[in-house]
Amino acid sequence: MKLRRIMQPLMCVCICVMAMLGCSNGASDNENNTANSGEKSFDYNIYCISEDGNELTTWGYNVSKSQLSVSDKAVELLEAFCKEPANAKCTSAFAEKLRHIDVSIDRDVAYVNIDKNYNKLGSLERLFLRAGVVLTLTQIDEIEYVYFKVNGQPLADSEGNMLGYLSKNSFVMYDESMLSDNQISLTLYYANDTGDKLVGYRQDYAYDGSMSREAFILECLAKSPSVEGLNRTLPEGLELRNIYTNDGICYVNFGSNINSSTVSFIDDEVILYSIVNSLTELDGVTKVQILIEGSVDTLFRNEFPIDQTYKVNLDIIEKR
Amino acid sequence: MKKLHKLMNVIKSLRFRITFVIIVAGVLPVTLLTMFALSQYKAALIEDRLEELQNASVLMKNDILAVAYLEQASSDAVDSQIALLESTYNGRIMIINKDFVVEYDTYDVDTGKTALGTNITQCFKGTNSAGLNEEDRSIEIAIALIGTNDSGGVLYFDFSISDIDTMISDLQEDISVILLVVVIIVIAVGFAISFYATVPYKKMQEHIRQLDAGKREENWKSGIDELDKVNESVEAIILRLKKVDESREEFVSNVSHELKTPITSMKVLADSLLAMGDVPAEMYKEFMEDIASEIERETSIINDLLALVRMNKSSLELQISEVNIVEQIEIVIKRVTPIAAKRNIDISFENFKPVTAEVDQVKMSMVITNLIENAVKYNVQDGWVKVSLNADLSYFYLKVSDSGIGIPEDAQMQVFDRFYRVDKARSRETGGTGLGLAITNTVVNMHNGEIKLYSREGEGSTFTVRIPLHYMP
Repeated sequence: MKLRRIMQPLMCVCICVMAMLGCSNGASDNENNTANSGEKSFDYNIYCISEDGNELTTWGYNVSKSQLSVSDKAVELLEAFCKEPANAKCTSAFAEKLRHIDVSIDRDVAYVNIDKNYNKLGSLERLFLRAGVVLTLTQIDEIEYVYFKVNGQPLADSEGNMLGYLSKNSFVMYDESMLSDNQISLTLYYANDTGDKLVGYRQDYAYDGSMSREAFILECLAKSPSVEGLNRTLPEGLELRNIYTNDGICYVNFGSNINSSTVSFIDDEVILYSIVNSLTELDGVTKVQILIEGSVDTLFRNEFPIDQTYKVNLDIIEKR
Repeated sequence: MKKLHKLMNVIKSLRFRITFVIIVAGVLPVTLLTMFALSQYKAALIEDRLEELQNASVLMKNDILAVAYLEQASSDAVDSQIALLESTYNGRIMIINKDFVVEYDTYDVDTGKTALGTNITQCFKGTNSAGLNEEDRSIEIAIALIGTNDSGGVLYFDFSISDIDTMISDLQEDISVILLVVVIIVIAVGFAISFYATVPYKKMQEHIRQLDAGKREENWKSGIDELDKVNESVEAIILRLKKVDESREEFVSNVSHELKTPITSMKVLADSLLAMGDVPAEMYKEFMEDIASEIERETSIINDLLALVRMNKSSLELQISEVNIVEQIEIVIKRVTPIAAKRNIDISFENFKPVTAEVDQVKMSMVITNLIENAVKYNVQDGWVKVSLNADLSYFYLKVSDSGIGIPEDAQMQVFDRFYRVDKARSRETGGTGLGLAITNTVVNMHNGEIKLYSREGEGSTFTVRIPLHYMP
């Protein structure tokens, strides 16, 4: 097995933090840590352990031939994975104690077998190995899952549970702030063009975990979607003191500017239920309790009492 | 350029400076203090929050371990703690088990996934961390779930401090408004104080103008001690200038009179001679002799004036040579004796030893002449003049005493002033210009010497002059 190209990495390690605030259409690529700042783009990224030994990073790799079978590609990538990268500032995630690793492809699953020295590895070393193999191999389009075996036996966790089929979504790579790249599917209720009814709209949003889902929903409602016929119901610069869900009730604590700022032509009832309906779309939420600066003794938009919870209102949704 | 010039002028004004100082002193400390106080307050709040959350994290960790949460994934105690933290603060709690799987995530984003990341790895290796993430404005705590039953795993807190940030910035806004009011008040106060502070100066300006116009304001006070002292100096100068002016007027009228007198005499003599018609030659001779002596008199007056003028112009130049002082004195005495004899005034010269000094011969001669002539001029009938000369290693001392009319005490300081006459009426009789002692004083000073006067009215005067033997410029 030969390594055709020796990469020339640069000194700096680029960590791309894609903190995607707000709601933008479409999915984002999972960009991972790279050991080379790479002006060239490589065919694949091989995962390795960073210099400080605390996380996984990557180095770029090009396959030897353009027309390779899935199996050959997998083998080549795995080989690269096991070798110490020549110039990159990282070490191979294939621990020294291990002696053997092989892979066989069946449909979209890569079956990876490791020798029994795997059991002698520390939990961190095992983690890096598993994550490294899965994240490296699943870059090949045809491979969706990796199934691990140790010495022919299916791999289990410390509780004895089978790990089963692992995809790249089984892992999450956190940056310094524990943010990661994710997508969530949300149904949000915006106002129609006349401001008297709600329109439901579902799409995938990029979500990095910098705020709770509930807060994220409200933030999306405060931004105008680029779709025709949809209008935002909450003002920009909305002051949200706190939001959390407990026992099926979502508590939303607004600052005082929720009552004072105008959202132009939208009815107050529409504003209220855009909040309630959107939040109750979440699995854990059945009711919404609004507070204004921690108090329930006032009126929401000077009209609606908030000493009670609100449930979803289907009547105010526009019938198509 | 004009604008810059104007600006420089403004900056030089006292009014501006007072205003500026008051504004800076009133605004700067207050601003700095409030800024400092706010930042300290914010830091304290964040410290408190950090401590509270750290306590909560330890509490939660112990509960997690106690109920073996990671094994059974449910516990009222843990749930209620999580609910409490959620309702009090704004943040995310994650519980990761020893297989790096996210067992619990309040945001429910990554539950069930296997987690990789520096924070988690470091915590697993045993390094707990707790601190403020400046950029993200949140407190992050990672605490390892290692206890007696050695469960393993990580508890992670990430709580926003944006509420603290908001509160402080609101406070800052409020304080800014107050600060603005303070600034406006301070500026107004500054203007007022500077206005009142500069009133005395304006008053002084007016007062000096009055003085210049000739009006005297007795005991004028500005209200400021320093200004009063300045006023005293100004008034003294004006007084002195006035006196100089008066003296000068007097001198001019004196001089014109002095210059005119011999001319008048000459005219009278000439006219009367012409009027007499046929006159014998002896008469002509007599009249011509009189005219000649008047001309001489005129010449000496003019010479005195010229000497004074020359003194002004050549005051820095001395023609130094070895001069026999004894000789000079003897020459003068010889010349003056006949005049003294007219009123039977006796001149004696006491000389202790020969004296030779480095002096300007012409000028020193003038000094000796002036002193001895004065001693005779201001003497009484049958009076005496004593001249004595002595010397030591450094100086020679010339003393001229007389039994004359003396100089009153209040005039003794002024006799060396130019054109000064003690008794103006008398000066017309005695002749002279009032310049003699002024010239003497100047010459003595040029030689780095000293002149002293002792006098009693009615008894006489003694002038003592001390001159260095060796001239040092």
